[in-house]
Amino acid sequence: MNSFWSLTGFEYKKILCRKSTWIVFFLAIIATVISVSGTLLGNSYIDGEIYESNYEGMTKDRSYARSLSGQAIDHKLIVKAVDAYSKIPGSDSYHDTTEYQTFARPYSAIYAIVRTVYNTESKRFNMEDFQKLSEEQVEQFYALRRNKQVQLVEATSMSDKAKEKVLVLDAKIMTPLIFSYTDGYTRFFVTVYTLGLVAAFAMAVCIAPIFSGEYAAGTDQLILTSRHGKNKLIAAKLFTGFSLAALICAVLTAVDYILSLSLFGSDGADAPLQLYSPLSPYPLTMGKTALILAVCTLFACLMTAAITMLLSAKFKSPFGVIILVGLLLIMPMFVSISERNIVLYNLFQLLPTNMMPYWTVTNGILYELLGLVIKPYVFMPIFAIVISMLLAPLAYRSFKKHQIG
Amino acid sequence: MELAIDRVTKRYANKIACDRISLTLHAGVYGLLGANGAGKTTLMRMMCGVLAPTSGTIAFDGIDVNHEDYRDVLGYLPQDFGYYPEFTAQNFMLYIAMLKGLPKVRAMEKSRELLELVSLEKEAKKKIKTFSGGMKQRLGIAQSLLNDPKILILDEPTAGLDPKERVRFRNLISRLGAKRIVLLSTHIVSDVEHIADTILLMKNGQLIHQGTLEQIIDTITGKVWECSVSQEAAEIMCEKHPVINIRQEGEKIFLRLICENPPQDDATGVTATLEDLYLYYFSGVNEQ
Repeated sequence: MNSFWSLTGFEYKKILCRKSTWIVFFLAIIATVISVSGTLLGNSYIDGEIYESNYEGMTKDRSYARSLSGQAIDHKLIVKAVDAYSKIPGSDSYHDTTEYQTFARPYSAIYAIVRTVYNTESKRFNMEDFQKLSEEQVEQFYALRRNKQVQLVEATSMSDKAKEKVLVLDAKIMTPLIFSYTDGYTRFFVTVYTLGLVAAFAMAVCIAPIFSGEYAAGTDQLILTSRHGKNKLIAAKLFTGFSLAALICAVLTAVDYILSLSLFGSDGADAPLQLYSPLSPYPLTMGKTALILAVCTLFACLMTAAITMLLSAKFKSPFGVIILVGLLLIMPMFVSISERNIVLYNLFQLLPTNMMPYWTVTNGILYELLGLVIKPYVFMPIFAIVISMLLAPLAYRSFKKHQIG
Repeated sequence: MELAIDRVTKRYANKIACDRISLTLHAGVYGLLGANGAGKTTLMRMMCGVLAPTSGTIAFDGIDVNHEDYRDVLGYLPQDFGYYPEFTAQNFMLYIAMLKGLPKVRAMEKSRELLELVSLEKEAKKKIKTFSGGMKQRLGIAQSLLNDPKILILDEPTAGLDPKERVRFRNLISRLGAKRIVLLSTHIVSDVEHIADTILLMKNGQLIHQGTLEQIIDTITGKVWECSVSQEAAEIMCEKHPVINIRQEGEKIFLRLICENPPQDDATGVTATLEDLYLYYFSGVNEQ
């Protein structure tokens, strides 16, 4: 066992000795920081004049939202928001009006939640619709939400069992929703996808040479003729690949999470997810959702590591591995699969790139396997583990059987 | 101690690199001679388990070449191999020692000892990327000895070494050969001549001769001649006989060649050397 850890140490040394590792890691940190703080840069303008900086705008919205925190999103609060918005004169760019800034903006977070429920397929609910919202419509807010949920679920091609499960989950959501400021968490939800892709690519660059680098450098001959070269060393290499992938992902996730919460505010860990996605059927809190996203991203990175190591064991050059893994990560962003073909759709969501975004992890389309109905955020990590466990022995075997000549 | 190679063949799509080679090696130094493409490296790679033979078996005292126990007694210096440029010589040695299963303390001791043996003790803490070709080659030799191997396979071990280092290395190999099987391939005939107990001659994937220096040379004994001839006669002789050496001497051409009978009346019969034999067999190959 000692030699295993010593060999793992040397594998880390090989990776950490390369300049490319540090460059990629540094760029990944920069990308994560920019993706979190990017929206705070710049200014907002009214009539061509700087009205406020984006950072000032965020702090203003935050203080407005914090003043509403703890209040139930019920008839009373929605009516208050409607009244405030009714003061805005008809205008295409209503954000620029003094009335919006003075009266409506403090309720903009409520409007953002409410409009999603009132949107219909044929018409997008806008500010004018909100101004005209009747007492009766406000009263029906949660009933309307539930009806909409039923319609959405029925429109899918899931089995009846799965549909029923989604609706049961949805019924567990406590209403009325209690409002809380949650922008720190929602910023994390948005940026975790970017960070996941950055982490997966950075990890691929670092571990692509783990096997193919030995072929390219000609050190494979020394390794494969040594006592542990065809067993313990391969295990140490695989462990190094997986642990480094986990480490890179964990560090970037931590940077993203800490930065999101410190810049935007750490409130709302216990707030319901529906404050961000009013139609989400999952009775989750913001904190739990953040954890789920971090876990799914981590396992997506581990699956990418398994794929990278298999390709590394097969290819003679790390460059080919990096290019292929890069394509694997980028291509799914340009492909869209219809939900009507549920099998293909669900399979497509199991690509590493699709395991990271908030909207696929918390998608209302469930997985069905052997009579079991499984939530995407449960199925995705399990799938990643299974695939990694299948690919790792293939990489092991491929390096062990590598022929020199 | 017996390394048995039994009808080992390596066939590629359009070439047979090794053709039914059978050999039994015991403790001692074996020199493998052959031109480029003769199959030496292929044979050595198969003996090290990094290239699977198309057919045939290789075993050391009954242990198959693919078994961990075989690798445990193997030391290998490949012809062209890489290092980790950012590693120091000491780190590289420690890494290889770990791969060979040496405990940490023993690995430290052995690394120090071997770096001293190849005169790299002062460079132990320097990164390999700063090393010259000769220094890298010495480091390669040192790593092959880390596990005190019973089978030591050295592919072109003296390449890149200066004459002084080569002599040191030859002496070292001679010592090592007393207790283990040492197989070395080289283009430098004098290296083999000086240290090999048994010489193996490979050509076109086949083992064409094996034996002691005397036995090997016996093939051409009494057939090596030296003479000085005119330009025209030299051209005729070069076409008819394998020429070992040719040089201008005044108006005449000096020739050292191999033929059954004296090429001309005043030709002098000389003692055959391994180099004569090597050139006799392989000059044609190299020209191709």
